[in-house]
This record gives sequence, C-alpha cells and structure tokens, in this order.
Amino acid sequence: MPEITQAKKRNRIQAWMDDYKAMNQKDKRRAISNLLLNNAMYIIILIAVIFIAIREPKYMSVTSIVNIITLTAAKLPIALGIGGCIVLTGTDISAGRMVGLAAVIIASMSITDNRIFPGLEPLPIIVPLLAAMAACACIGFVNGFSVAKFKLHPFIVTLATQLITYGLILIYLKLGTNNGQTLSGFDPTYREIVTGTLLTLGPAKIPFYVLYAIILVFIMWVIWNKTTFGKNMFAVGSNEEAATVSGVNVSRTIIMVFVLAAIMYSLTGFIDGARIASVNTNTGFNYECDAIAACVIGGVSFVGGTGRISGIVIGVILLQIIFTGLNYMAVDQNYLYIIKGIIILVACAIDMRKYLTKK
Amino acid sequence: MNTHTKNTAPAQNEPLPKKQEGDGGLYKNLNVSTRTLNLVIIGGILLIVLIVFYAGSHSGYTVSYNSKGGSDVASQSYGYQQSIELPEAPQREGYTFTGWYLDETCTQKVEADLAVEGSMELYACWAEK
Repeated sequence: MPEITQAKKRNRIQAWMDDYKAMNQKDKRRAISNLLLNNAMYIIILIAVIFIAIREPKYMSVTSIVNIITLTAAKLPIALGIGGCIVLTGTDISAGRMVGLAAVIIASMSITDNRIFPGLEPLPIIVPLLAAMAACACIGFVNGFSVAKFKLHPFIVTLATQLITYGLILIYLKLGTNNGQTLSGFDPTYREIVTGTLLTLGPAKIPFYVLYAIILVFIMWVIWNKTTFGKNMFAVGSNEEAATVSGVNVSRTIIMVFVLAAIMYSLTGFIDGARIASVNTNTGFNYECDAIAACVIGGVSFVGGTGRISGIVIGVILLQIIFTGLNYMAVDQNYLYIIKGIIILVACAIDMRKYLTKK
Repeated sequence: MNTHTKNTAPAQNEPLPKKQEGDGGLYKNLNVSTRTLNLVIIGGILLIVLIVFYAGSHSGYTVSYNSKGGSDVASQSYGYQQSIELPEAPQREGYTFTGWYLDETCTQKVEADLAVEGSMELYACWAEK
C-alpha cells in the first residue's frame, strides 16, 4: 500500500510540475500563489518550528519530541471521533464534556479512597471503561438521533448536549460524600495499564497509550475505508439526498457516526484520567476546539464527504508541534486561546478557498 | 471531491452509492470571492505571527503565592519546565507552616523539583500550634 501512495504522490507533484511548465507567465504566478495560500498553514508551522528551534534548542531534544508524541497520542482519539462528524458537514462541540464525563465515571470506580461510592474498592478496569463507553454512547445517540431525525444542525444539538453533559458531571461529582471535589488517588493497575512504560528512549519514556492510539488509528482507518458504514458515511457527507436515493440508510449512518465518535471520546477520557492523575469538573474542557482545529488543518473539509485518517493524524501532530513550541517559548496560556481561535478561522478560510478554486 | 469512494471495491450485500457531486456541505451558499479569502488568510497569519512575537517577548510563567493569612510572599517568574524554587516559609501567629499546596484544601503538596508548565497559584497551609 505505501508504495502505491508514494507513487501517487510523486505523480501528483510531477503532474503539477508539468502543468506549471506548460503555463504562461500570468498563470505561473497564479499557480504559485495558489500553492502558497492553500498550504499557508503548513508553511507557517514550518517557519514557526524553525524559529522556535533556533531560539530554544531544548525544543529539539529527545524529551521534547517524545513529549510531542505522547501528547499527540492523548489527543488523537477525540480528533478521530470528531473527524467523522465533520465528514457529515457537522461537528460535535459536546466532545470535550463527554471526555470529562467518561473520565469522571472511570475515576469514580477506580480510586482507592472512594468518596462517591463509599466503600467501593477499585473495580477491574474493564467495568468502568465499559460504563463510561455506554454513558457516552447514550449521549452520542441523542446527538445522532436529533441530527438525523429532527434535521437540527449538529452545532445546536451538541451545544445542548454539551450543557446537559456538564450538568451530569457536576451532579455525579456531588454523589456520596465527595461534594464536587477533585478525584485523585487512582488504582495503580489502571494507571499502569495506560501510562506504564512501553519503550524507553534515553531520558524519555513512551507510555502504553501511544500504542493504544496507534491501534485506534488503525481501527478507524479500517472503519472509514473498508466498511460499508464508512463508505455510507462519506456518501451522506458528500450529498445526503443522493445518498438517500442510492439506498443508504441516512439516519442510521448519522446516528452511528455520532455514537462511534462518543465512544472515541470515552477512550480519550480513559487515557486522560490516568495521564493527568486527577479528574475534576474541568477535565476535557475545550478539548473539542483542538480536535476540530486538527481535523480542519488535516484536510477534513466542511464541504463534507472529504477527509482522511492520515490527514487527522497529521493535523493533530502539527497542532501539538506548534503548541509545544509555544510552551517552550513560555507564551502565556491566555494568548494560546487567541492563537488557537485564529488558527481555526484561517484553516476554515483555506478550506473554503480550496473549495472555491476547485468549483 | 469524493476521493474515498472512488477506489474501493463495492461490498457484497448493500448497494453502494456511486461517486456523486457533493452539494457543498457547510459552504453550500458560500458567497465570497477568492480575493477576500486571500486577505483573510494572509491577515490571519500576520495576526498569529504578531501575537506570537508579542507574547514571546512578554513570556514567562508567573507563580504566585497565597499565604492565606500569613505574611506576604512575592510572586516569581519561570520559563517552561524550569524547576520551582519555593520561597522562604511565611509567618503566621499561632500557626505552623506545613508547606505549599496546589489546591486550597491542602491535598496536593508541591514537591521541591516540580517543573513549571504554566502560570499557577500556590496556597500556604497551616497547622494550629
């Protein structure tokens, strides 16, 4: 497979070069500016990386690169989930809160000094994981059902479920004698399963969840590319009416996309709880912003029916590279929000531009 | 546009949709010129660069100390992943200082070699004498 994609890529560059040679002066200039503008995000990230690497040499150290890899792995599942929703020309802004809900549910069943369910010993990790998956899948079903049957825009539906989920998190954390406090003191086996060392690279350790992220990428690649459901998803995203005419069960496809996404969020929560080692009401807050930005940068278009798993992976890595770099420059967190917001806007403008020039 | 359905073999049971023209999705009613978008893209990127430069020249994470009734402690500035250097213990009449904590309820004590990864506030905790 890789050889074929390599060849295809080379052909694309070759074809572009041939086209370019055949153009007159004016077209040449337009072709160059198209190329620069359509890839503006990648160019700016490349420049930023070089700039930061010169200013802060520590940024290119093994520790830093492993840090980027592990954080990418932690954020991949949520982006893979949201990617499906964007392929349907929607989005999912309840994602972050669902991550929080999953983390809280898993934490409540696997902490040693349990105040939520007093006296409960840490359960085998599969039980809380399945419970979190089920809870998130229910919310995902509500999302999908409302989008599919009521024809509401996903922004509105997921805005509503985001609030509902946040309420559920707050209530859940008030159960027992916990009174809304942060949950910490996890069962060591749970933490070991997620953050245990997979590989040691010099001073840095690669945890197990990097492996899980790779497995999830593979599973999602198979679902997107090799199953009828995946093909239906792209058909619905590309043109819902045409998909209906071709006999695709549109409602079922939409609901399944949202449920699948919700399950990916619960896995993000599973990883995040153990990674951060404490869970509170703000766990997962704003995660969807990073994930949406990563998908749009990775070429999952709001046009619908366009996108690749490899694009999402690249998008998450690029965002992580740039934000780790900004951390090394000690840029204040407050500015990072503004930068993230502008990145989303610019990425959408680039996406629109590609759509317009193709049309 | 629909690159995915193009090269894949059809499944056996369910009929598969043929490659269709997309309807434009969120951009269905897009009414904007490429020139405007170019301006937005270039403007946005310039804005990002400006913010990064501004923020980079005003960088540093502030660690502030809330002595919770004890004597005042000055805040400190750190770079990314620099280890923290805890200040001298504050004084408070009738209490013994038990250490600096990440939370007000005194559950997560700050270790001496904690690496700073963002601005934060640390809380003093006290035990009655």
